[in-house]
This record gives sequence, C-alpha cells and structure tokens, in this order.
Amino acid sequence: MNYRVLQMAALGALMFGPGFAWAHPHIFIETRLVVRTDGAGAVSGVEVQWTYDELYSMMLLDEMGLDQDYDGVLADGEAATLDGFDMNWQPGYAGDLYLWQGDEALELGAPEPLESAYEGGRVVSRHFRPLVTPVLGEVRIKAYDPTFYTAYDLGGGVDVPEGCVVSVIVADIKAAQDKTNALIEELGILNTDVEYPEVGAEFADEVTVSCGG
Amino acid sequence: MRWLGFAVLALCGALALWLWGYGGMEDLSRWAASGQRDVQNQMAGALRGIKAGQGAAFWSLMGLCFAYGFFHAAGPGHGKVLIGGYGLGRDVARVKLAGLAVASSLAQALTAVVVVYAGVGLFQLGRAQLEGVAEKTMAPVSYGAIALVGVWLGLRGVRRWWASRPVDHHEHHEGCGCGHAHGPDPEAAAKVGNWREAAVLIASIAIRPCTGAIFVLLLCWKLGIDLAGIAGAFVMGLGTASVTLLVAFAAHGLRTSALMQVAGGAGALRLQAVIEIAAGAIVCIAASQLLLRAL
Repeated sequence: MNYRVLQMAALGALMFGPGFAWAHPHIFIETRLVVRTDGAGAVSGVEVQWTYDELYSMMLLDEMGLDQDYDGVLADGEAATLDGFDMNWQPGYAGDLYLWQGDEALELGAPEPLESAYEGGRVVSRHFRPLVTPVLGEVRIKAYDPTFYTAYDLGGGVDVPEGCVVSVIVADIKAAQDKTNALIEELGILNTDVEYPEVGAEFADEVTVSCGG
Repeated sequence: MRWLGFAVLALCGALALWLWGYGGMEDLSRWAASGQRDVQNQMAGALRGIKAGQGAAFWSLMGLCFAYGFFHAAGPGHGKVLIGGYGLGRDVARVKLAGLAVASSLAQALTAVVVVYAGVGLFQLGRAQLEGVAEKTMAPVSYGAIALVGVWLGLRGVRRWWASRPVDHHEHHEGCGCGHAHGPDPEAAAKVGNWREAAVLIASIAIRPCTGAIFVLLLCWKLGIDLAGIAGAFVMGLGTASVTLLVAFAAHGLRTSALMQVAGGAGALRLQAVIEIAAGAIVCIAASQLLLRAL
C-alpha cells in the first residue's frame, strides 16, 4: 500500500492540509484472511491477501514501470519486482486490519511480506500480521480503511485452522450511511471536500473467530 | 433484438421490484458499490482494447465511464444527493437544478482534464532534473495535485465568499451540508439568481475533480490514447449528473401527483421507493446498452 499512502499523503498535504480524508471508495480490494494459531490454540496472527481492482492494478504496474506494453501480461523477470511492493508502510498506517477481543483492540506487529503476483489483470499481494501477544478465545477481525478511500471486501474468503469456529457479520450499509450523514451534520461539516468522518469501519463486514474452545 | 429488449425490460421490472420490495436503500447502496467495482475492473480491459486498436473498445469505455459516474454518485458515501432530492419538491426550479447539475459535472470533468495535463506538463518539465528514484516514487498524480493547488486556493476564496454572503444560509434543511460535491444541492441551487452566482456555484463544485476521472485520464495518457481519456472524463461527468437529474425529475413528478398529498413520512417513503425504482431502470438501460454492445 505504500504507493497509495504516499500519493494520498502528498495529495492530502498539498491540497487540503490536516484533517482531510477522501470520501467514497476509489480503490477496491478483495481481501482474503487466513487466521493462524499457535500450538496452544491461541490466535497468533492473520495472513492477509489483497487483490487490487484491475484499474488500480494497471496504475500500480505503471508506477512500478512494469508491463510497459500494457497487454496485461508481465514480461519475464518482472514478477519478482512486485514482491513486497506494498509493504513499505508510512508511519501511522495501521495496515487496514483491526483485531479485538471484546472491546479491547489487539496490538499487531509489523507486516511480514509474503509473495506478490499479477493474475488475470489484478495485482495480488500477501503478507502476515502477527499478534504481539497471541490470545485465546473469541477474536473479532475487520479489514477496512478508516477513511473509506479503499473499500475492502471479504470476497477472498476467511480461512481458519481446524477446530476454530468462524462467522461473518455483514455490515449494515444503511446504518453506516445514516451514521455518515449524522456525523457530517453533528460535526458541522459543511464541506466534505475538506473534512470527512472516519466511517470506514461502519462499512466493513466483521469476522468472529473462536479457536480451541 | 426485440425479444432481448423485452427481456431486459422484464428484468428491469423484476430488479426494481426487488430493490423496492426487498431491502430498498441498503441493497441499492450495496449494489452501486459493487457496480462501481465491477465497472472499475472492466475499464482496464477496455483501455487495453483501445490500445490494441479494437474500435468497439472505445464505446465500451464510454459506456463504462457513464456507468462509473452513475454508480459513484449513487453509491455509499453519496446518500445525501438522494436525500437532498426530497428538498426539490419545495421551491427549487428543477430545470435550473438540472442545468446546474450537468454544467457542474462537465466543469468537474474539465478540471480533471486540466489538472492531469497540467500535471503531465510539469512532470515532463521536471523530469530531466529528477533522479530515477523520484520518478518512480512520485506518481504523476502528485504533480497534478501541485497544479491543482493554485487553482484550488484561488477558488476556495471564492467559495468562502459565497458561503459568507449575508443570506439565511443556516436554515438546516436536509440539503444543507450535503455530503457530496459532485452536484449542487437543492438549497444552493435555489439561491442561484443570476449567471455570476451560477458560475460561482459551478466552479465551487468543479474544483474537486473525480478521482475516477483522473485515474482514467492518467492511464489513457500513458497508453497514448489521450482522446479516449478526455472523452471518458466528460462522459463520466454526465453519468454523475444523471443521478441528480433523475432525482430532480422523479421528485417533481411525484410531488405533482396525488401520492404526495400524503403528508410526511409515508409520502417520503414512497418518494424514496420511486427514486430507487427510477434509478434501477436507468441503470438497467445503461447496462443493457453495454450488453448489446458486448454481444
């Protein structure tokens, strides 16, 4: 995600100063989550796969100077350049992955890059986020961009180790929309070009995982 | 061909019923979001097609751009334009609003074109001096932003002036604080009394070009199919404006009908339903045109 973050940071700083956030999704990422557990059955981290939408993939490749003939196929040797391309995170970027136990947020470690690829016109990248302290019991997981510039869906599915129980609570889009409108009014935002409430979480589906119970 | 037309109509009816009867707004939003995602995925293919010299690909891109504009304006984060539509029934001349919607969307597209090509100009100028690293890490988008800053700073002043005019600006109608800059809200439109005011309103909306248009323009420039990108940006603007138009005319039609005599909540609910159905129908038509082209 470093390219986007860099671009947006530059755009935001230049154009709108602090507090600005882009409204509405412009990048679509199909997310796949694979929950990992340790020997004791505690959740130890989550493997994240991001599949970027085709248009944004095209831009990413262009920025990296790959697929210069734009035929949607990487030349020999180009694929290796992709690995880790979105792993150089800006300070303060949380990785658009959030875990909780009850209401308590769980701390995640730095991303451990796995491989990236270009498949069917879409850039696919994978990384692992370890939990700083593995936790037993029920864990809630959400993948979202707080500013909702990127829309993450769980189209890639959620995988859990044997013995874990997983369920997905689909986001209530209507409620999320109402909350967005209410916040805009409550905060007295007259111009959403300048300010936008951080509502990405409201639009995200929630995964609940229980292991070893 | 005729059968296909009937089939599409029937499908549209079923879709409208589904949208209205089963879940309404939530489904509409979800659907618009996935619509935008699907369109965004198909755009890349259309761009490659144009690059490869496939004539039909140009029209696919135009269709996709229109759909993108529509879905983007109708999708999550844009609910206010629909809510703002309720206000239309009162005292806003809908023709005026429609004109402003189209003009501001096209102006927004023009801004996107200017920003991208000004950025491209700067990018090329600076390129000789820049080391390879800078070229790779700073996307042309950022250079476009630099060009925009000047424009934006100037126009923000104009906009502030507009907002601070001594009119009863702070009556809180639904349209006030419209969470949406792709079109004029009814209240603002109602206040437009002359050409100068119209120009200011249009300019204040046009300063923020749609990111989607910038994506398409940049890629088209890179692909050497500049005209397709420029045309696409304007078509995208029309797609965005179509949502406002739809709301404007649907709201008016309903107001003058007996239905609207039902006071308050029930009338508003019906209005919402009609808007959703109309939106479904329009997109169906757009989608069926795309389908016919693809066959």
